[in-house]
Amino acid sequence: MKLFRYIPFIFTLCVYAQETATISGFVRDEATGEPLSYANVFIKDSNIGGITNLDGYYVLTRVPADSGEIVVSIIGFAMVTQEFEIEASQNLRLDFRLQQTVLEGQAVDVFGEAQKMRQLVEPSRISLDLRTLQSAPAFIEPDLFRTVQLLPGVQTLNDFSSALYVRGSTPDQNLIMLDGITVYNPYHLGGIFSTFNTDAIKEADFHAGGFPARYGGRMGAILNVINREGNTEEIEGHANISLISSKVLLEGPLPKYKGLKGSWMIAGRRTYFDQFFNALVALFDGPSDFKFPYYFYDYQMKVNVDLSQDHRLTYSRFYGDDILDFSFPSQTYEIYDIISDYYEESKESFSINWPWGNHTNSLTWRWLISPQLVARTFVANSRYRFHFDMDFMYEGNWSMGNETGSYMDRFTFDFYDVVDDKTLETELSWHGLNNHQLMGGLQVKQVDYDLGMEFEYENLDTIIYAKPLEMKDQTVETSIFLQDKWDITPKLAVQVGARVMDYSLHDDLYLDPRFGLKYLLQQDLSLKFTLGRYHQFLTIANPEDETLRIIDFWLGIPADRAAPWADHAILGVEYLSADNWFFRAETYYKHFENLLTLNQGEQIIENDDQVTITPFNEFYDTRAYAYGLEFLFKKTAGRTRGWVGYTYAKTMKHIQKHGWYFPLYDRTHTLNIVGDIPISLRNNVHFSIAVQASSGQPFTPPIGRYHHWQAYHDPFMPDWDGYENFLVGRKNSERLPFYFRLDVGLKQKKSIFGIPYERYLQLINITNHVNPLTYQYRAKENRLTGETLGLERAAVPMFPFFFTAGYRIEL
Amino acid sequence: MRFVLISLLGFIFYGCLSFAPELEWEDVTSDHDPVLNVFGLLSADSILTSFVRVNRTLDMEEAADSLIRDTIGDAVFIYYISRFLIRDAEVIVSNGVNEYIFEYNDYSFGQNGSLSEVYLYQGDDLYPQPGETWTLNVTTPGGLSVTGETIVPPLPQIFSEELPDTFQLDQTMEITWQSMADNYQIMNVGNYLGYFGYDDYYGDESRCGFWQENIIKPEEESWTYRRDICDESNKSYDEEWDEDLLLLNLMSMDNNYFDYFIKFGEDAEFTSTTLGEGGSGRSFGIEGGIGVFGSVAIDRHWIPMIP
Repeated sequence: MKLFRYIPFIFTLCVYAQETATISGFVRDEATGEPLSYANVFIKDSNIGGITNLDGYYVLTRVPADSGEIVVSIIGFAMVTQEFEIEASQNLRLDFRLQQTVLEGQAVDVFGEAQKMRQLVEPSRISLDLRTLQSAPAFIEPDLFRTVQLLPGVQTLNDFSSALYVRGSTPDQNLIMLDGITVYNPYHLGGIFSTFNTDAIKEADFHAGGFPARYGGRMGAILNVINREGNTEEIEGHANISLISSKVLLEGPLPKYKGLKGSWMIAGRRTYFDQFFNALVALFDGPSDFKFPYYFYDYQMKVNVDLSQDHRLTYSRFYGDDILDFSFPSQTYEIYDIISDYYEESKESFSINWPWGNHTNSLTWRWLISPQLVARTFVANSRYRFHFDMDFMYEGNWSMGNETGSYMDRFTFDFYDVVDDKTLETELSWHGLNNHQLMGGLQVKQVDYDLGMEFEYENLDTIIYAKPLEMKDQTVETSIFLQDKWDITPKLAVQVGARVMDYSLHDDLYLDPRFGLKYLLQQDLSLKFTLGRYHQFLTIANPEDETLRIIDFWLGIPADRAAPWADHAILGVEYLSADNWFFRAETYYKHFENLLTLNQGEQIIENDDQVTITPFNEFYDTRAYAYGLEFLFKKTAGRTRGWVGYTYAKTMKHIQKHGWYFPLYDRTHTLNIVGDIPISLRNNVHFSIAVQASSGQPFTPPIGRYHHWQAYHDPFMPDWDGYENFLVGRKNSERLPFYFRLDVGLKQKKSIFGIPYERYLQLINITNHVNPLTYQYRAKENRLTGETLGLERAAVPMFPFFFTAGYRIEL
Repeated sequence: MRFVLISLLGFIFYGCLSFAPELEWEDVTSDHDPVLNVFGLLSADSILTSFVRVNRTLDMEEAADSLIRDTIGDAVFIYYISRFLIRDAEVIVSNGVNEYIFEYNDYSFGQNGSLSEVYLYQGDDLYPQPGETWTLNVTTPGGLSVTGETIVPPLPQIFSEELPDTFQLDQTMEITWQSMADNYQIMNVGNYLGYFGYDDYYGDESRCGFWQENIIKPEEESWTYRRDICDESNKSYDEEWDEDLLLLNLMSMDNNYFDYFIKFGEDAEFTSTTLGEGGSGRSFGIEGGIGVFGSVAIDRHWIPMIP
């Protein structure tokens, strides 16, 4: 709370307003009412202009008292021109609604790529729109994270994981936000899918590094997913039936009430293999107690209410869970021995109930205090939890002659982790100073962590209860930030900012300075440079060598551990050609300190009077560095779209136990090619392709065998023996074979009875290339002599060739 | 229905198999050059014997054992011998003044007979003294060699005069000893009839009952000992029992021994679900190979136990 003393400073900066004429307003899509970000707004025959922000809001200041024409344009929409007349000191509100200019069979890019490139100072940023997400061939269904994995700088752990390893950072170092709310475990099915339903996504902004002071609390990357606001004009919907799940999206305007306007959107998804399986069993075998044990679902909704021209409330909600539910109904057994007259009736049951997932809620209040000053206040709650609950019960009665008895054994095991994040945030944007865009804000984030394990054994006369693991913590992270983008000259712009953070478990105040520079070498060719420091106050306590991960164990940085931090330095050039080819080359260096790596061998510690299982809080101090070079060629608009990305990267980590080593996700060379090509305009057929090729990941090789000596110290006499062990090379010193995957997709739009639909076919790994997840080993033995020879190994393959197909219906 | 389900699953399984790449097994090879893997222990204790075990590492292609067929008279004996073990090495331990030649013995050694086939000194004039620097030289006919060095730790001393005359089962007991400036010690306490009667000891990991262990850092001087009842339901009293002894064993060690067996002894260096456990072949007090050359000294005491 030390930070509150700085708040007046921010407000002092913001209350000052220029006494000049100002034109401001929103730019929206005529058909849906969705805000159009990065639209170009300028006054004809003048040098006064600007672009819309993510809310579609623009401000033009220092407008001379006169009449003129204001022009609004963005690729894919018809340009709008409107005459205006303005007096000195007047604030004129002009909202625009632009009509799409979609030609027959020609998709267009609704994002102002050129405007964005001209406007933004920060490098390593890319936006993915719905069309991009849906155009790349997908594993079963389009997925945001799978698409992001195809961008330069992003590495993957394996085919089964959609987690993002960005420029040497691990997934826990990425800030994943849905409408501004932190999502802690954004995966379904152990990481195979991300939790975000692509149908509901309007835009996803991905910062691979060097992000400005506005964002904090993580030291890797930022993925800000923005959901659609909902159609303000009419109710419409989409349904999508794929191999494993169905998705539905509905959106529309709010009923008009006392002048209030607004929109809503709700989207849901559920896997249905369990229902399909259960129905099949019921159809052929009648009612059955056995149910298919797994499914996942998610739904998200958003409601916007315009209370007045200057006030808007937005409620956003996301619920997503994976459910594993093994419930074996109780079985009853009876035995009777006629000779001894012994009768026994017993019953046993077993169940596992394991839900895990995220629930988020947020309420945002946007207030246009003045045309130049916009406040955004945000209160949110994000909860991630898993709860593994196992229950075994065995009970019965017996009788023999006149004697009777009963027995009962019950064992329950609970393992849970709950992360409960409550955030209050206020952000002010001020456009009052010419050539400056000033932003400041305050964020208070309280996170409750509850990680625990419980056992209970019960019989008829005894109850044994143990709670060997209980890690409860509450942390409060308070931060303020201030940043200014200053267009010093038409060619040179800088973005300077700082974020100051207070972490309740530490005494120190943390300062993260950020600096960005953009120099326009020529029209649409810019040089960008960024430096910044990034602190983080939470971590996950999963073993770093885990190849398949279902759940994350989140922990606040303990009081006795220094806060991890990273420095980013990025240098790059960007160029956008007239025919919408975007080229970016970037080199980066990242340095990490105070990282925590779980001691994978440490399971039990012995205190003075009790043994405690502490698998999640024994860490090695870790440092790391990463550097690389990336190239991106992206076709941003037009019928054919896609990109070619190449990454050269090196990441090294250091712990005392192993020295410097490559982490499991390090891949030296990565080449990704993504394309979406219309092959028949008349029949609306699209062909898509994704090529992924990369160096193999590191692994620790066995190089020999030896005897490891072991001591037994006891009160009689110490004793020793040796056992055979593998002699291994340095940690992760060898590489798996080259990774290659070619996926293709075909998509056709058609209609039946006037209802448009789309059918698609996706072919995954069509060359059936064996991409090893790891190696499995087996001992070799001389079958004649029985002598133990060396070892053999075989690759454990990831995705083989397979295909998926589905339908998408527009209602 | 089951037929339909099995058929469906079979179809899916067959489909996956048809598409799944075939597993191709290949030999794991390495360019590892075998080195000596030695465990040498120099004892300043009158009961514990000094010994050296000489092994070598194997590369990935080499067999771990050899089939031996011996014919003695009409009898044929078939057995395997380890290829790790080196039986014809020259092992010399020296204190800089005298050299002691250790010779290979194939009988079991150790309380539990677990460490066999070690090199022992056959004379009776090997008396390592605290603070002395001793060296080890091992050479094999195959050309492998290692050297080692250890500094014999101070003799540990339990302050037995401060211990009670008897130990009552549920009492606590303060144990004190001569602290050491630079060396770690390990104290092991347990009852003599531990495995047979009056005890609730359940193995090395849990350390319940009378059997307790304390790793003593330099400068530490005392420890409060008590029987640790982990589970009341298992706190058994053998009615037949009427006599037992509480044994106290205090062992001092040099840094090589501490590093190998205590500091890194419990920490699995490498674990893999597909390969198993492994290690990089650490060496402490050994040059030219892997393993450990350490030295220890022991003090013992016993106390009668009363119910």
